[in-house]
Amino acid sequence: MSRVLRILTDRYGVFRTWPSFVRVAAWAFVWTLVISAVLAPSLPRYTDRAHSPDDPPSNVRYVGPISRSDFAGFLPPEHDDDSFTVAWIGGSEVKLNTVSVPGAVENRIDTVGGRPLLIDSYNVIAPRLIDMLRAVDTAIDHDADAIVMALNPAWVHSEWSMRDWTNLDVSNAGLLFERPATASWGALLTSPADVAWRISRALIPLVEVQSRLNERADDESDRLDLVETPDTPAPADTGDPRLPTDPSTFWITQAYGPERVEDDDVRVRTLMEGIGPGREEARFFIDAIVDRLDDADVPVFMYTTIFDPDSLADPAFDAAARDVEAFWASVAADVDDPLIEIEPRSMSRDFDSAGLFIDHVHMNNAQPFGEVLVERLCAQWTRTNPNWSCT
Amino acid sequence: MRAVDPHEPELELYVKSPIRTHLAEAAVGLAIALLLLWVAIAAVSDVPFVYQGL
Repeated sequence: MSRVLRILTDRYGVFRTWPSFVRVAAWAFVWTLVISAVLAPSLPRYTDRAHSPDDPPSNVRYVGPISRSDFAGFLPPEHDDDSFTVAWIGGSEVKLNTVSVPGAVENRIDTVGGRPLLIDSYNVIAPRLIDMLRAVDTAIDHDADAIVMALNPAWVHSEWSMRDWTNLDVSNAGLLFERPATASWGALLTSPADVAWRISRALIPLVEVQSRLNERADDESDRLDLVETPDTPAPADTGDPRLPTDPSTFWITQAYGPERVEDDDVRVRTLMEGIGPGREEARFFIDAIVDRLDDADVPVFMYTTIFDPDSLADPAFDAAARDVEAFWASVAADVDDPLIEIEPRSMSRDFDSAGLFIDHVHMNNAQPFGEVLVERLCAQWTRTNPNWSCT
Repeated sequence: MRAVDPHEPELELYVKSPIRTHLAEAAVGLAIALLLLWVAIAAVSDVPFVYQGL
């Protein structure tokens, strides 16, 4: 190495003067940009994400990440002025495997106000409030014509964590700093590494396409592997009730004892009622989301995640569900923007929803709920603009 | 640029031909860029490491 340096300095005059250092640094920067731009495959798109196809098929575009190591964030396509684009925001209750609530709606509406309906679904598994704030921000930035949001019971209590998709800290790095109210959360949650990643993604296309490169690298490493990658081992059952295999059960056991996890209705009800302190942070971020939606100036329909009527038949579960509904009703009471409509009541109480669920909130058939939502959404959209009609 | 030292005959080479110095600087910049990109790609890669007993 020292010989190479000696040749460079003695024979070629590199690094003999400060300007030479600067020129080398400038060349390194330029080469980095040029090489990465030439080598990088095309930038990531929502179609890269392997969401399960809907059954029955729909044309909903699923724009959320499916991996926590995908730092591209929500990737809605460019807004098309000739279409009526709806941003549908939510968690697994919106889309799980082949069952899709936006898909059920999309299959029932062709046009809104003469424009073909397009639905971009901003769904991730188990989102939290800050994750959804980022989804709202992206949807508004992409000029969504209307927004629909499923309100998750998990958001009512803050102890379930404020965000679950930490990779969105990179894709929407500056969001929490945009308003003074959330700036301190931004300082707490955004690390210098997130900002450095964001900058390097913006500057270096090879870094921006990391999700695609990772896929290729995975395939290549599989090809080169001498032995098959072993499956992730299932969590070991220790037999000790204080050491359950999943985190939520662990915290319930810590807070209330193991008897609360024996029955699934009781376990989920306990989670809905919350573990630990109050819901001030949850309300804070809901207000931040509503504030952002208020600025969007488009029709917004927010509905409480619907519950399985079988679960609601359990009086204790029903009481927990009513507590959640009361929370959303209190949020709705404080919203005075006529463009924002909040349905705090679980709509499964008002239509025949028996047999549609596989558990408390996830459905095996979203079609009947789709019909209910079509009626509500078309009513709201046509009320917003009398020239619009749903066909 | 620094004044040429008559006791360092090699210096005359690049003083007389600054283009060679610039080409060498560009080549060094290229090497650094390749290293940087290697680090960047490795940093964002999430290929799982599986110990294969080798």
